[in-house]
Amino acid sequence: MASLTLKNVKKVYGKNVVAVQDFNLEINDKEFVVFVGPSGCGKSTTLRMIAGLEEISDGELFINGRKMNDVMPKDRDIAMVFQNYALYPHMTVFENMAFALKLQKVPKAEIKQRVSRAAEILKITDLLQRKPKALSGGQRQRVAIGRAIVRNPQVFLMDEPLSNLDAKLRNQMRTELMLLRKRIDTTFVYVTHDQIEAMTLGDRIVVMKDGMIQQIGTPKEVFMHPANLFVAGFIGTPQMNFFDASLMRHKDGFAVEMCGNTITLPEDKQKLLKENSVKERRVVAGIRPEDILIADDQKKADCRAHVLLTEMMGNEIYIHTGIGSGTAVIKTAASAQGGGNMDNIQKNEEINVCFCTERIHLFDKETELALL
Amino acid sequence: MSSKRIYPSYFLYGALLLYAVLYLLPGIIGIGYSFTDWSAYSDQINFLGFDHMFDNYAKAFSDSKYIGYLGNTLLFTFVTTIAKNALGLALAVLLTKKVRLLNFHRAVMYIPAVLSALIVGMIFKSILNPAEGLLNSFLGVFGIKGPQWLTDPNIAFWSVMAVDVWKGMGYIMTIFIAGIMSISPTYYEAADIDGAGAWQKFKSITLPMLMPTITVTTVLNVIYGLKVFDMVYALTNGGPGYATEVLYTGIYKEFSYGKYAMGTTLSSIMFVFMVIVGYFLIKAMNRNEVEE
Repeated sequence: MASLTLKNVKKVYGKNVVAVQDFNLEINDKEFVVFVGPSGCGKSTTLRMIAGLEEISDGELFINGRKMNDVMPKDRDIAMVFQNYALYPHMTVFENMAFALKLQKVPKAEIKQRVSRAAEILKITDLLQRKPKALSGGQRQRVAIGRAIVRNPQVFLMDEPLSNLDAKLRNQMRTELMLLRKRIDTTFVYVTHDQIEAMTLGDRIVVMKDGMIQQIGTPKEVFMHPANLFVAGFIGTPQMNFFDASLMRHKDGFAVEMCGNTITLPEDKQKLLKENSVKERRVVAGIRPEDILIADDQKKADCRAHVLLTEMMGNEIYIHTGIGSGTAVIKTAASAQGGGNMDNIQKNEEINVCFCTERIHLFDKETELALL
Repeated sequence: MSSKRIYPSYFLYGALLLYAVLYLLPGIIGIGYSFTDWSAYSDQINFLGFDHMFDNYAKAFSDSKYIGYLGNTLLFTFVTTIAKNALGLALAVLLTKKVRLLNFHRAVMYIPAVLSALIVGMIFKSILNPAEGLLNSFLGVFGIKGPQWLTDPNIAFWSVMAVDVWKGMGYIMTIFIAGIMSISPTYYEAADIDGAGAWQKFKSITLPMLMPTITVTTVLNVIYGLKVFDMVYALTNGGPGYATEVLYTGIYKEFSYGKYAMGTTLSSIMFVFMVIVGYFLIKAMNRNEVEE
């Protein structure tokens, strides 16, 4: 159990390849923080700097208030789960889990007890005498987690631990990680490129791109109030739809001109724009697929959409459409309550859609920052 | 084409013919000659007779000279295999670390391996010359009187082995470097976090994961050691007396003295010996591969 502080942390490879910069973050004791972002965004590098596997080029790292920049990994009281598990192939599961304790010269009886307890938690007791090659991907993952648990570390670091598993097993292990987290209640730093893992596991999410933090917030904050166009597009599946639009004065307040229509913004958004002294400008309007509704009545519709194709996902349908000069995905329940069967929608059909204006996001066209 | 399909047998004939003419037939004929009195001093080659057919072999195993050849060959194989493996591994571990001018150091260590054994022999014959050799002159600077490296019967064979280790360890080192570099760095990172120091990482990761490589280098060293000829020939030619004589230099001499039957007898013993050693080594190698 420990708190972590990263102050202006920077990582430069060679002379000028900047992998991470201006990384400032406070991680509270027992918090589960997820670094998420596309490949090459610097999330793993940051985790490895916390672990001590990469040198910190600039800035400071504190664990429990103690500066750790030059402390060896073994003296940081951390445990790490690697993407490829890194189980020692010539050792049995028991030996793998006991290795760190053996090095700490923990008495044999205690090693046995701690390994057995961890094995029990992870349901791998019957695998203790096997070697890693005789284990499935999921079992290896459990052993890797077990190896970390036995040490009772202050901080748990996990580097894309589920990305080598197939989709079904990944979902299962994700749930188990959530349960495990409740049992061992310590500080977690978790790296993933999978936004579903980030949303479901994290108390807070750190969204990264090109070595820079884009937003830090709870899953809900990041989803409901993305700080910029990148975060808006990265978090949420299918990704948010973007439309070129203009923010303009309309009567007493603001309206958005998009898809050949003028859409009046709701009260709270008007208020926010006024508070922020936003002026008329070119903007990007963002609407999540579930916030575009199919209207029965043309009078209620904001615009017409041309159906390009539909994807039947079981309980919901993704309708890919052309709206104005762009495209948009609409997510709707497969059998909409009271709205007839949406799975009847055919390719090339023209449908009426309306936007859920309470959920509209506006981003400055130039800076790509959120205006709301 | 299905991968299970069997290739026609005539694909084999060319290679089989070459193998039979160049290896199998001379080998069998050679073993056959070991049961004769073939020598340069008689035009006739006579079978020794069923009662005496193993006389040549009995002589090989009873004459202290020949037992000495065998003993020296085994000692040479044992010592050089261990020394080349140990030094090659130590160098490989050092030269896979972050060292300045890494490739330069690797090249320096590898250079002796590309030199001909005869040239190395000549160079070291000069360096180890007791009177004006580089080594004894150097020792002389400190007032130490160096021994007679290649002419003292108690030291000569160790000098030969030392020169051979010097020449051969660079080659073994490159094999170990390749082996070490194929170990995923993640294991070392995991060990770093687990709290392992340099020695523990070597003992618990490098060494066990290098076992297949160590088997390969051991096989190479053992086979080389049993077959050694040129290094001994160039440095001492088996002398002083028979102090540094190994099986192959012995066989070479038997042939040059015209004692062909004895030469083929020693060759046959060597052949059987190599087959036995080879069998166990390959078996060990296969087991390691399965373990991996």
